[in-house]
Amino acid sequence: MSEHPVEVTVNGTRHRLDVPARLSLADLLREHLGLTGTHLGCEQGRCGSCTVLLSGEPVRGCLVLAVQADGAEVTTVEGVAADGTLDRVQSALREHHGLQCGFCTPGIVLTLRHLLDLPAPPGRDDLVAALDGHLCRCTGYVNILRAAESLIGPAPSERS
Amino acid sequence: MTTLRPDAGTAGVTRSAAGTRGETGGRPTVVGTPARRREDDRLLRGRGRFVADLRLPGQAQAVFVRSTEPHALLRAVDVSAARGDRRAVAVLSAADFPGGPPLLPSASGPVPGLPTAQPALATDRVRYVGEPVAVVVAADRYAAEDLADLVRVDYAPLPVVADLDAALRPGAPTLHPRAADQPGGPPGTPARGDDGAARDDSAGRGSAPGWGDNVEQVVRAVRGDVTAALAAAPLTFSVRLSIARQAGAPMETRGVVADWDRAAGRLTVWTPTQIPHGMRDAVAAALGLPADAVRVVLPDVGGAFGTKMQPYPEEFVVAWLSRLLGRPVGWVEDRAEHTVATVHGRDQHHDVEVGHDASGRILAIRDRMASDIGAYSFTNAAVEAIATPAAVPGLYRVPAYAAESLAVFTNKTPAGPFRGVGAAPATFVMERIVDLVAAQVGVDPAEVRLRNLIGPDELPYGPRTTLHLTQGSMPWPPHDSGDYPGLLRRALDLVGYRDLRREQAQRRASDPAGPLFGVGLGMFVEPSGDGKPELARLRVDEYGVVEVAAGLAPSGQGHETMLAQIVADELRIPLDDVVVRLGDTDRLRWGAGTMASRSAAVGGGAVRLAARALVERAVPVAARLLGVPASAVALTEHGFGRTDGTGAALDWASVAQAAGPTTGTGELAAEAEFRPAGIPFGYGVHVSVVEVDPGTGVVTALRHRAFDDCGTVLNPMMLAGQVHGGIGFAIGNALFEELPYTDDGFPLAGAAGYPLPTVSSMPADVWVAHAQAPAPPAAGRGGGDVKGAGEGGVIGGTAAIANAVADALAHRPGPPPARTPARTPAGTGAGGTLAFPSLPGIVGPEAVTRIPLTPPEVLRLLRAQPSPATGVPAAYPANTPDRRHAPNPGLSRG
Ligand code: FES
Ligand code: FES
Repeated sequence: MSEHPVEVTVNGTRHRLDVPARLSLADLLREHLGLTGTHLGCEQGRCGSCTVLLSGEPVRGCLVLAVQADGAEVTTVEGVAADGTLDRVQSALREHHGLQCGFCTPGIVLTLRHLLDLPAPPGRDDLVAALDGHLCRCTGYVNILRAAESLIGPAPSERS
Repeated sequence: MTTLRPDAGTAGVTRSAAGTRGETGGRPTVVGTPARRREDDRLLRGRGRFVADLRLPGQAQAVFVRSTEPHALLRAVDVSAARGDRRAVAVLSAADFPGGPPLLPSASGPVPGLPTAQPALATDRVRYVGEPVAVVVAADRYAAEDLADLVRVDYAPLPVVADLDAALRPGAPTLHPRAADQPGGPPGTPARGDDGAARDDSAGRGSAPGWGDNVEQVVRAVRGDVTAALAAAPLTFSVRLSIARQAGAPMETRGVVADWDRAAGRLTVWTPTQIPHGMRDAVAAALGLPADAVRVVLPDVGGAFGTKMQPYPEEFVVAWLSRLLGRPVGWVEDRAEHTVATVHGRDQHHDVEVGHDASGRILAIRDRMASDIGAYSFTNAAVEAIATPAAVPGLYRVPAYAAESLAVFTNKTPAGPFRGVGAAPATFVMERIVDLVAAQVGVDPAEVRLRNLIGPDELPYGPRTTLHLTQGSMPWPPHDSGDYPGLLRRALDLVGYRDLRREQAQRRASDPAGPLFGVGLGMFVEPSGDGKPELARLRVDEYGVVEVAAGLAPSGQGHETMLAQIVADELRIPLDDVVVRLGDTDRLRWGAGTMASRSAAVGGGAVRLAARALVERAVPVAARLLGVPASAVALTEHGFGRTDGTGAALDWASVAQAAGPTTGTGELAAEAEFRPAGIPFGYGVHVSVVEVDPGTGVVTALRHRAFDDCGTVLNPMMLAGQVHGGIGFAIGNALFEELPYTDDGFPLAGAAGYPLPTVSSMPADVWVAHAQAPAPPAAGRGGGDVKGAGEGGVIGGTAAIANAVADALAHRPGPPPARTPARTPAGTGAGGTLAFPSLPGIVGPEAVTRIPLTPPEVLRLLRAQPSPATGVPAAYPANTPDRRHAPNPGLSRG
């Protein structure tokens, strides 16, 4: 199996390593860099639990090859609360009980993080459209959406 | 666009707080508050540790080679090419296990020592696509998958049994032929005839002994004289109701890491399981080790829902490999494997006959049901077949009832439990029956419910049903407490039921070609726990930190938080002083685990009892330190003080430090076992509002309301979360989840193919609320009066959604189908407070009888020509009069 040099910055730390061409970005993070917060729920691009930010854009870590990340910056869930305190996306999920088993959570954190960092603030439809890319079997999505809504302003129902 | 609204909260319908919420002795209690979860911080930071995250030094990875045939003789399993590869650490097939690979236990099987148990690796035959045939070990998974491709399996295909009807057809091929049918059959077959004959007699079946047919076991449930009651009923109808094959589908698949310690002669197994102690015992038995030579440790678990409550072949094989190789071995199931390698559920037919009167009172139900348990007597394969029959009448009186339930082998992945096992299919059946009765008599479904519900003055109700299993009979536990009609009335008020009916009529009038609008009810009881006891142990260290161990094995429910809340209140300490450590078999002698909505009721009860025992042990120590008799010591939020309030109080740390020297026990600790005296029944009602697009058949769930009574609420936030999750399951189960197979036994749900709800499949508007009817004194419930709540969402929700779709379809445009007057005296004698004359009173091919209600199914229903009622609709007797349901005393008595 041919090996390819890859230089990638993950959560602010630069790594250089040789990887097989077929190695996925998720496996690079999990197996080679020990960042196991990126979860693999399907390895088919369907569940979204492996979502990471690649040069600021959310991608399925299971569908991107490690070599495609050469020269890029990657943010994983471990990099979201880098300074120690929970980021506001993480806090909202905790406050609204938007996670149960937490397996789907890392991907959702990064997707919401990305949306909130966009120049134009997302609307509710944007939240739903983005969250539709994530499967969660525990929460029925009720509290995930509620947490997400809390990040873009008071939900109508919370005023009542 | 979808938005989900916050819950209405508990205030609206809470009638009694039963003394758990509020204040005791000046300090607010934490039980009953929405304490935020202690699990969350690590999970949100990506610091959860799931089984796939474990990498021990030297750990190799295993990959399984699985059958690609649904039914075949194994001519040869050629591992030589894989073994010859320099990357191979090990390659094993059944032939490499001296004495054969271990058999999976068959806990739900009709008799012990079943010849229909599954070997951990296939020996002479494969019986489903996905059955493990060989295992390959390499340094990493990429290499192991390469090597797995090199294993050559030579199959000689056999005739396939692809579904229930095929399995029960006379002359069907058999999955587990009798020795006599199979010259020189595989090892172990000679016992079949004997076993089978004994079992067959007790089951009262007339068919041949052994597994000469595909019926693994027959379970019956009997209440009253159904034959006489059906004969006497003024009105009767029959219908077949079915539930597709579905699955629990947690987001985390299964996995295991096993590490054999050669020096200690001890095996440590990390695996996401709901039954750590059960897993310990099963792995020990499979490897021929004493139980104490195996330690099972629970990592974080990414959802389980019943799919992880039994040992699987992979655990045995990976543990075996670790001992063989003397190094850690891991395996993680991928999603494609999960679809065929982890238990399925549901997949039932119910052929029911219903007797009722003109006012909609249900007088008798006979249910001949069959459950597709897949290919083997896998650990809990027959659990749906066993748990469904007695559960059908639910919270209705139904004076006469009889069910005969067949557990049936087919060439599919073995079945097992998943959320709502037994109760969810039973409730779907019963709630459809109630609505069909309502349609027959032209009375609103809500009113028909009120006429049939067990009243509060009739509780405790039962035991009235007797469950007959192969090994003996038992009474179905009585429903303990509640107010079923009271809850329904409040729910109807709160959802504005009459307004919904008005809205429905208006929509129909103003836009007859528009979307069809339907309202559905689903009422359920949820037995909490299965009667099994649970154990808990508490100890206090010299810093006053309380460590809690219990047999529970969480998979996302928040047990750490829930148990800490109970302990903090009992010991009057801050939540942060409680450390909860679950799922390590070395910490606790035994434990049952997490299943059957038992954790709060039974596990919480054990922890509560242990905490009280701990206080009892601490009081004499404190008394000695305080210089007063034990009777003069009071525990408050300040610690142990004098009852007269004089002097300083001692904190737990001081008492723990003094405990050793004072008591000679060395440790301030207590262990308690909680044996529930009965099974508390939670109950509730779900209301679903849907819209059906008549052009596409797409169902949109608009609103969903859940009201339940699960006794004392420990943490309303987490409780709502359980119900929300259950509603998510209900949406999937009712509308699109299905594991289809081809007619020749090949699974169609491929790699990522099992359809799960996403956020936009959820109703735009969801809320849940909790009532609490006065319950009898909390005898035998660990002082908690807690009922389970983990499954009600799917149990009640699925039925409500199905009924809502049925209601929408009943309001399809066009003239209502004609009724047969003799069978359905429309309106006469109905006299209900809620007149509902517009439903067609028939059970024809246009009636909702099967879930999931996918768009093609809905279109089929919309296009079906309503047929006049005949009393025995065409849908019913397709395959009932054959030998599969031989007469038996319970069903034909009188
Ligand atoms: S693991 Fe990548 S989308 Fe599921
Ligand atoms: S919290 Fe369990 S899958 Fe989302």
